Amino acid sequence: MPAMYKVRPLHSAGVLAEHLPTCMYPVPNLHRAPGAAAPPQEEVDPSLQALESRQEEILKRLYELKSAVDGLSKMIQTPDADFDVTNIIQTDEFSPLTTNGADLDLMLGKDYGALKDVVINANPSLPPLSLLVIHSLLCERYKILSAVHTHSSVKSVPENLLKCFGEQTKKKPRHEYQLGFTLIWKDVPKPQMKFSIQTMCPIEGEGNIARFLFSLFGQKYNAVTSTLIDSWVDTALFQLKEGSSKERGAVLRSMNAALGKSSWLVGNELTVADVVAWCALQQTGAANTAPANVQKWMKSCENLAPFSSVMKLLK
Amino acid sequence: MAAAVRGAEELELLERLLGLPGGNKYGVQGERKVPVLQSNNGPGLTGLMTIAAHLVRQARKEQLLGSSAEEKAVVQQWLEYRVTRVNGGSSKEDTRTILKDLNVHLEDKVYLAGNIFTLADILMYYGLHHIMVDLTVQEKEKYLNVSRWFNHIQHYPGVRQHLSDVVFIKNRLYTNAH
Amino acid sequence: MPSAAGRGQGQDRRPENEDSSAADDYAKERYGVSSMIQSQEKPDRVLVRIKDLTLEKADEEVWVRGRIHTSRAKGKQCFLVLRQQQFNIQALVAVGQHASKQMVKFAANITKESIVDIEGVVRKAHQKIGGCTQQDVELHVQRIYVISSAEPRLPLQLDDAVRPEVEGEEDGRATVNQDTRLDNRIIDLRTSTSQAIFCLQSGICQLFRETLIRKGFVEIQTPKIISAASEGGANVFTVSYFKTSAYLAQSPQLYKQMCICADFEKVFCVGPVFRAEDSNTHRHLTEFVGLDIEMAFNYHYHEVVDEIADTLVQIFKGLQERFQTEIQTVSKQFPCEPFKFLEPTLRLEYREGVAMLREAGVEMGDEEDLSTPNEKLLGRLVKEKYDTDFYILDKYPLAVRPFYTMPDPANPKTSNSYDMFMRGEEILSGAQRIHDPQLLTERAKHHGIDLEKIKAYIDSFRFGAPPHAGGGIGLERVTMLYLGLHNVRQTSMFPRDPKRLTP
Repeated sequence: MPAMYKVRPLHSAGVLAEHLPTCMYPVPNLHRAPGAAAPPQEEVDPSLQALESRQEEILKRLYELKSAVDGLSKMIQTPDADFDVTNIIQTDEFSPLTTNGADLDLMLGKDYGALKDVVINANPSLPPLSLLVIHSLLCERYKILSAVHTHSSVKSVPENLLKCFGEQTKKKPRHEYQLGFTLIWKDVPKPQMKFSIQTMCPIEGEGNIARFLFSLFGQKYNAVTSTLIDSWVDTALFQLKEGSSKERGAVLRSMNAALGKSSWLVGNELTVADVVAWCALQQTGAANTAPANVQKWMKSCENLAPFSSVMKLLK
Repeated sequence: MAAAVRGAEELELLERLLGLPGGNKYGVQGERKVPVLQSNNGPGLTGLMTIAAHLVRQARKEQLLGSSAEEKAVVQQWLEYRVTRVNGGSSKEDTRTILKDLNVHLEDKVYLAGNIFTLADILMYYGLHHIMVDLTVQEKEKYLNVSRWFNHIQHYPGVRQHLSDVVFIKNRLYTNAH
Repeated sequence: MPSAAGRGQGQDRRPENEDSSAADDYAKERYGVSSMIQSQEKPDRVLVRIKDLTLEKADEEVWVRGRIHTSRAKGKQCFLVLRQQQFNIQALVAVGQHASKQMVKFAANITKESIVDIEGVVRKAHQKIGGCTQQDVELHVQRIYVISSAEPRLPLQLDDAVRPEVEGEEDGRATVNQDTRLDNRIIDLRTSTSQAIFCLQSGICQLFRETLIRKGFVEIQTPKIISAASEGGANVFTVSYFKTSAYLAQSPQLYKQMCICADFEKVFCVGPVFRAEDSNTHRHLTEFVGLDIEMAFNYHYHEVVDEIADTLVQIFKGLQERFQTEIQTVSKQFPCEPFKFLEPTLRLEYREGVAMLREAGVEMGDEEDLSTPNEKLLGRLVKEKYDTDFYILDKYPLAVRPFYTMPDPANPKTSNSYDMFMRGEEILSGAQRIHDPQLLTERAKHHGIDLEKIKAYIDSFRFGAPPHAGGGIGLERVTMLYLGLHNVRQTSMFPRDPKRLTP
């Protein structure tokens, strides 16, 4: 229960100062034990260099393989397979994925004995693709009751948007689901989400809602990783999607650089940053002219069913 | 109708909030059940305000009585208000008047005495608890500032203790604000 | 529209105390009181509707019939406001080529509410006439005849009856209280607001029929004089029936179900419902119009719930599309938020409603019925979260529903029943009905009902009865809630309640 006027310190003094890296994308040093400082630039034997670059090449291919398997395992939907694959290249930045419904209850607040329904209002002329992708991802993990409604403020909604959740077989009674996801196509300027009865001020903005929904997976990130993810979400929405072509170019170059070192934008796992960035890129229409790494990453995303199903809505 | 928090119960809550060890003996006096703090040496203290102030001093938390002369006066004023107006079975009329007065007073203040948390807030909280518990959602919205203040005080560490948590909705349901 | 060249209807009667200069009255053929229209002739005249007097008709000569809403003399001119149902227009009689001083005086003295025929020229107004619906034009009168005059002292003033009630406004601006309106209903119904309300109500009936017929339903008529109180309650009117007595039907429930057992599959009926409930509330009438639906289904009663909800949604959409004028007219006197809804309709389970109320701080038991204040609060919470004024609550506790409600097979404490709400107030209570005579008997016994009294009812299910469900709405209540009004008497033309039997 939050106190109304108490302002909690966001972080204790010094955390940020201690943990902010000097370089943005630390790559585990291949030559030394983890933790040692990176060596200064020195003259290297060309054969050593060749060896290093071959090693980089192999690692890159390993990462790609891993993400492909990730994709496949998510399609097969065997929780164990998911778990095993994620453990292959595990850094200490990510905690294991939780599949527990009980944890979901913890995250969503006090249980009053009935279905908890997340309501999202969105304008059919600007469909929030990332939310639809995250919805599909959530459906793979939890038993979700999905519904699409048209609000009376909207004259008509295209067929594909009405069916954006696919064919919903609502055979079970409502209370047997873990979470409700109600999408209402409505005349609103920005997507907004309502959830709790007690504090129902809507959460507005695709990025913010995406962050909330993705947090339902129960992933715990450290401060740096969270900040990186947040930063990518904002970059994707404000510079990639809504920015000038110059800004967009710059973002694509940063993405290309980041994706040269890992298969996902942040670390070794799909995060909300990837979802939002991928959707933003699709909606700018600049997908085909993106640089090489970005294109490869886009393909890895499309290998995942939640992403490919959303492609239909882009037509 | 919820039962009012009074007498020994209230003073014991206060003791715990102040971090006092407890063990005081409380009695009542007269028809209006004025609380009395019995002491082994001497006549004892009578009256909620007196006893409360004594406990505050005992706990060395004098700031709860106000720092400046003006603050002290305001705190006194609200303690008096509590004892004279809020105590006892208030009729519906009285309750409405109290809530209206408070709502106006709290419009531009965080606490009853302005910007500091004082004994006035504590005793008014205990005094009003049984009224707030029975208010409808619409009434809570009508007395918006009282609700805001009450919700704040009930979350202040150590204040609520075993008393029930009164639910407040942050959205306005009864004003066509949209 | 060219005006017909017909002669004015006989100018037989003249005001008694005439000017001595009657001889100078050059306009005397052009005004007066008409002889009573006893269908003595068929003039070739076309009357134009006031609604159609717009800039398009500027400078045309037209004949119009309407009521004198107001008349105001000012020297050589007389300003009239002429009213026809929801529409009104300013008319001007001025001394000049067509009108004489006497004619102007005559016009100014016509009593309010009198019906007149006017021949005039439509002219573009210099400034927008804010007080009229036809703001861009006015009528310059050339001829004016009284067709039917009204007594001078009206029991209520229409302007007062249309005035919005604002709290704490300037005093002296009267409004008319409800009893006065209802006692003089004919006059009250003439106001633009009333006209709009009942046009819209007619629209609701029309859309109800249209939608259901499109869905393949059949309209049925059920008897209102019945032999036994169907719901087994005390709220029935008794009538003497020859040597015995009978009752007025509290609902068409029994007969709807019989039609299903008679294989009509999907039926609806529109007819009066009589409830002898001594409640004097804003939403109860002793007689109202029930719009009822009953439908056989294949496997799950949700098939029926979906159809009923869709029917209502089609009605709301139809009203939104076709009756905007009426909605705007009503909101001038009774402003309110436009009616919002979702498609498909929002359907929450009863326990979700209870959970929402609990979260808001209300204490209630799992099997407790919703009190009216709680229903209203829940309506506001749902409105806040989903932004809809219309929703369904499904799976009510069995304990609070009538004996013929089908219990939920998955949970003995729940039933296959539902209520639908508009603006937080209940408009429909429905359920899957028990179609098995054994189970029905059992449930009736459980409720302590005398089986003899409902023998006929139970018998209807003995020879093969399909699973079925249904529900009914009250026309007046739905109209009231759609328009955001606050008393069902405003939406009942000649309301009946424990204290009122006339007009």
